[in-house]
Amino acid sequence: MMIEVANLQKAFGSNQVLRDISFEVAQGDVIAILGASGSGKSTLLRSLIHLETVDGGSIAIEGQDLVRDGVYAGREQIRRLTARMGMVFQAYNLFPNMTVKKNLTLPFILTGRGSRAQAQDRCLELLGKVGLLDKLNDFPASLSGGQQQRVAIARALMLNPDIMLFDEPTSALDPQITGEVLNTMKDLASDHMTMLVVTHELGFARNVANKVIFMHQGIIEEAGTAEAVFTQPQSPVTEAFLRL
Amino acid sequence: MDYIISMLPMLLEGTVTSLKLFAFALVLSIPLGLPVALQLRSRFRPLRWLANVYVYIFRSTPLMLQLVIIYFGLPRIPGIGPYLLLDRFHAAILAFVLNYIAYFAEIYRSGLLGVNRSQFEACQVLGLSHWQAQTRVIFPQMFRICLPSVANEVITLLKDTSLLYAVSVAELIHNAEAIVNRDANMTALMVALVIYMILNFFLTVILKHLESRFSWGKNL
Ligand SMILES: Nc1ncnc2c1ncn2[C@@H]1O[C@H](COP(=O)(O)OP(=O)(O)O)[C@@H](O)[C@H]1O
Ligand SMILES: [Mg+2]
Repeated sequence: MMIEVANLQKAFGSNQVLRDISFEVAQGDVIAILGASGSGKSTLLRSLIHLETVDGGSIAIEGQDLVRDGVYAGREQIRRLTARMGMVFQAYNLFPNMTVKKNLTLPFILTGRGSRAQAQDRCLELLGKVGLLDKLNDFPASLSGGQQQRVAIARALMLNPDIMLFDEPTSALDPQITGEVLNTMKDLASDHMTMLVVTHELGFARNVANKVIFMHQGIIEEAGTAEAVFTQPQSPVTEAFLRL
Repeated sequence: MDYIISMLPMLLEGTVTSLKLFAFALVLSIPLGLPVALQLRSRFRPLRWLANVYVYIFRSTPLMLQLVIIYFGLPRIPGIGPYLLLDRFHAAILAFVLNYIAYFAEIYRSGLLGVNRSQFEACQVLGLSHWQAQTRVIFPQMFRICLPSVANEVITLLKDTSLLYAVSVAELIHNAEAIVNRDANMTALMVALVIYMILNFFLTVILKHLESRFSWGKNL
């Protein structure tokens, strides 16, 4: 299994945000995580890449423990495991003080992935893939939201992750331009990237994801193949959400 | 006109002294303000407290007084005093640097608050170390936010060099006044005024240029 999550618990103060989350992700899975605002989707995703520390439960990446029964692995193991994941944020979070090229190449070089020349080659290849080669020397502020998000995806891909996490990647975009980002993600899915995508794009969840996790108040209310969850939701809460 | 030209050597000599102090104070206080700013936000309470007291003292008292105390007062401390006797110019550099570090630290502190927290998260998921995140991502953005306030202080610093007068260093105003007293004629002070304006003109141009260089594709 690519990712195994068991009995995950997380509270902010007295607010129990993740109650008892368990699921598995296989190589090449594209999992859409759906649910109302506040149901704990972001917290779950952020816990996987150690932007949040959980209170209990286990997370293993390709059989190696990030945290087991609430006890975290050593610093080095955490670094190694989280390095296999890339993350794309709702607000892109590009570095505004660097050109597109620098945004892509700097982390590659600083984390010792390869030489400057290798960084450059990979940067050109990935920008070509997301269709933004001409923006190489532009600063993020001069790009549209959709372009910035595609740069952010390319930046995450620079580090050659095995798993990509997306937290509402299109929620900050105008409806007309969500398509360009969703298409980039669709390409990634057809390259067999393992993806966890928190999204409100039901079309994407239905057509691109192979599995769907529906969260409600900190638990997984329902999970299954996209086909099953969309056509025969078992839980009335899920059904109500999908009808909305 | 001949009169003005005749006084220029003495005024320019004073200007050079003023500019020397300006340059030393600037080159030392601009970078040193940063570690102090970080201590202002330190998680370690005593350090944070110390940094806040330091900034408070130097920002709430007149620079002139700080200068006088460092020059005249420090050598009178019993025991270690004799080792603290600095010549006037070095005493001035010390006072200016300590004072401006406090100002820059406070400016940087508010600049750090202006950098989006999510930038740190982006660094983290990209595997950057804390130090790499700070130096490559956070500090440059902080500095961009602070630039207008820093520019303000830099211009104030140039004018503050006239406080050297208080410890009788032969800077621009000191020399101008010597000429005024010698000739019973105000012209020298007028010329000093023009010299300050010219210096500040160039300074302003340089600072504006810096701001636009750090615009990063945004229209300012
Ligand atoms: N850093 C935080 N501190 C305190 N509460 C938080 C924090 N992050 C999220 N929460 C709370 O946790 C709950 C779940 O948030 P989140 O995981 O962002 O939900 P979702 O992404 O599904 O909208 C919400 O009630 C939110 O207010
Ligand atoms: Mg969220």
